[in-house]
Amino acid sequence: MLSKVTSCGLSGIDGYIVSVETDISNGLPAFGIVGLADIAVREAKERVRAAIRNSGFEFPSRRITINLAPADLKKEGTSYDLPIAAGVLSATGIIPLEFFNNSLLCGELSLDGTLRPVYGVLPKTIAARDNEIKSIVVPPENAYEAAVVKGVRVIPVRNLSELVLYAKGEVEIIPVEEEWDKHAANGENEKEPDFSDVRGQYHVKRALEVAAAGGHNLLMIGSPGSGKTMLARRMPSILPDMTFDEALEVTKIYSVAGLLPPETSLVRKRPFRAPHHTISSVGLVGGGRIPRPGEVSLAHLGVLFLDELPEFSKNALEVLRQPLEDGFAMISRINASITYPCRTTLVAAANPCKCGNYLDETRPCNCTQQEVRNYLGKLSGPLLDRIDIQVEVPSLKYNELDEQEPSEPSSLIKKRVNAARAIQQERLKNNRIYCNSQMTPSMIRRFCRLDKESSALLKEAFSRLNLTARSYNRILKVARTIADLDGTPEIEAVHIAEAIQYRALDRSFFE
Amino acid sequence: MNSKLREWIWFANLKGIITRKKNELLELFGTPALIYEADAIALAKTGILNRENIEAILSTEPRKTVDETMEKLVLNNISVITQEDEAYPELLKNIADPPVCLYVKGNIEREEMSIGIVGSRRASGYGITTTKKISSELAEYGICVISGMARGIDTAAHHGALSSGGRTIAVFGCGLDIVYPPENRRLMERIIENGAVVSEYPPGTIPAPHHFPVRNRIVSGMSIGILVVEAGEKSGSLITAQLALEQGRDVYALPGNVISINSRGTNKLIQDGAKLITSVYDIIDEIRWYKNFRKNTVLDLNDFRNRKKIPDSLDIEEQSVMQMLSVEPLQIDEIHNRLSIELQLLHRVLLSLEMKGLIRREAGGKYIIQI
Repeated sequence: MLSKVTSCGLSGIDGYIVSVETDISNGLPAFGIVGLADIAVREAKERVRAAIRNSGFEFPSRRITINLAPADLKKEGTSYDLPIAAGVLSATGIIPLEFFNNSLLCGELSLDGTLRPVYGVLPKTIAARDNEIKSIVVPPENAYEAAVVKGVRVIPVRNLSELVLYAKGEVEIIPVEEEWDKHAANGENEKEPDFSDVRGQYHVKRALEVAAAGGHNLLMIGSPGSGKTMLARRMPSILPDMTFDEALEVTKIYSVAGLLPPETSLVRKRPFRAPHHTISSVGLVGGGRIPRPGEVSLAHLGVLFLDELPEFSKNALEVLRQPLEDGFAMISRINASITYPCRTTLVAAANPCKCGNYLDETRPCNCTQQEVRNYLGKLSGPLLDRIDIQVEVPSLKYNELDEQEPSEPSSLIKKRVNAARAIQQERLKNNRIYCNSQMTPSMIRRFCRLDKESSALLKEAFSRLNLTARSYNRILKVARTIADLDGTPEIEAVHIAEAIQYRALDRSFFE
Repeated sequence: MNSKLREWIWFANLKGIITRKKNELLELFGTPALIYEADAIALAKTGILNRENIEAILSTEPRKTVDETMEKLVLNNISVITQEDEAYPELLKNIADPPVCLYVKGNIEREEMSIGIVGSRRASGYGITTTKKISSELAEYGICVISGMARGIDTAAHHGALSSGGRTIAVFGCGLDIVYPPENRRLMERIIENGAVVSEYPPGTIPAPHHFPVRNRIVSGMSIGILVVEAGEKSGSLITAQLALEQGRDVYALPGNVISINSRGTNKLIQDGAKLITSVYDIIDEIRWYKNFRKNTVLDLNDFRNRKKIPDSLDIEEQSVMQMLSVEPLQIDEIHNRLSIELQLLHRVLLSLEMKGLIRREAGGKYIIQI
């Protein structure tokens, strides 16, 4: 007897259809899996055998061969348990063969036949939709995630016996449905950190606003306790709302990484990732023996916050450059290369020196001049080249903390950011980029024209303030974003002046 | 060159005998050549030296290395000024333990009016700016600025004097063939052209921590007064101030923000009676009666007062920012808070003031007035 069950594998954040073929023939009892299965897949044998028996069915004591087609792609993970068990049951005639014509199965089996959640269900459901498969059978925990995809019926199944009854038509299971709009409304009720909590720091807040509006990477330099982390955590609250497609993309990454909380459908908030500085390069950009997305991809369409930037290993910072530039991280393996998207806004924070008190007037700095120089010197070069905005975060004085007047809430800032983004998208729509920070030098020449006054100002500033040549394009890009926030078509002198103020490290930071 | 120079250098570089004892020996014997030839009995009779001292004088090793040292002097174009020489600074000769020899690159004058400037190596923008200003104005008065060419205040002091074409002298805590700190190589060349670098250590001596307090006595010894610009509570500059007092020199101190750790030492000095300095005129006021004060000064008092004024050509926002900054250095947020000027406009105003050279942005984003 031969049966074919459809399941799905993962490559990067996309699913591909895998056909699980089961053949039961006479011969010495055996159970073999072929088709480049990894250890977790091969161990499925034991789980399947026990699950079938414990669900009250007979496990055939004949020669069973499972083939996972296409047989030349590596299969990994535990989500083939369910299709393999279903294949065996169907090859022995317990489940009607027709049931599998229009269903995709995935799920891990426990020895008692219960289904356990697996990762990557969202991209698998998308693969099902794209291959015109009508329904998908998933563990109940994964059902909400799958239900986001329209056009596929999502059947949550608790255990193997339920699947058999459902396949035979003896029980009815109500497909899970999920409404995007319903949750979008709910999402706003959730309390997330808001800029109204931050007293003072107008200059830095404005810099964050500009960074959010133009997608610029940003570096904050300040003493410990000046509020760098607090400010960075509020960055997602002023980024534009996620569209459905964006949410889907982010959810795919989280689903593949196995980080989606059970019974969640979509990640609706822009991600904020703050990896610790001891992270390895693989942890940061992704990879590993079984490739997983790294922090930079988990921050896709959100914020990647690197606190204590100079403390990160040199290697980790080096590998970060390419993904930040390209918007995706590529992981090469012998038989395939996988890409994970990572269009993220990098927000980094650094102490001005090792002890952190270099700029602080009230606490002594124990570092030598050379140590101070070396500390931020670590960042120089290519990584710093990708950071458009550098601001100093002053330590707050008590009277500023005590300030009664509430600060501007994130919602107001977000409105301005949204408006500025809309202008950028309109202007850049033919260039296949979506914000100012991604402009190439030729686009900068085209879109960042200066009037007489502002070009004179920039020229003079360069000669008088010792600005480095590489900051030229950065100032123009940031000035463009500031002009967009103002809603003015031309870059004016005020915009240039403000952009120059965001080049703290170019402006002779060291005495 | 002095024919006895070899013996002078040998005597100056003898290790294990403190400078005070060397000076006493010189008084007794009159010249190092006689000490060079003296035997153990003659040395013991002086009653100044202990057994180790005598062994040090009689040992053959330093007598051999002195020729090496002399070669190095020629090689590095370093001249030697002994206590006997005409060029040996008059003021320095009168301190308790004047160096036996001074190694010099450049030229020093015997009776030069000099002010020493010392301060923290980790100086704030306030310290740097003020040092440069006072130092350049001292130079305009024809006063030589003496400092140690260390990082921070010292470097600013030399730069300030050089910027107005004045003379400046750097006293090293190492041999003159070593540039320390290394980034000051260019500065050292300029100091040699417009003054001198001086050391009591022979070439080849590397900078060691205990050299610096010893060096500082020369800084204050060559000066008629010492200005301490910024010093922490336990700063070496305070030791220099102490030495200066012992040598009978005037001590001036620049006051600072009471919160700033960089100013705790100087504020303490003022409490203890050092003269509070707000401008170069406060120093001039003290030293104008000295016999070699040059009366034909370029800088006239009224002219100096005028410089403090905020230029009239500024627009109203620029004026108010200048006024605010003339009270204390401020961060952009603080200016924004106090003046309620829109941040965007403020960026423009600050940049324009900066480009006019009226203010400076220092590390940490503070703006500081520059007049």
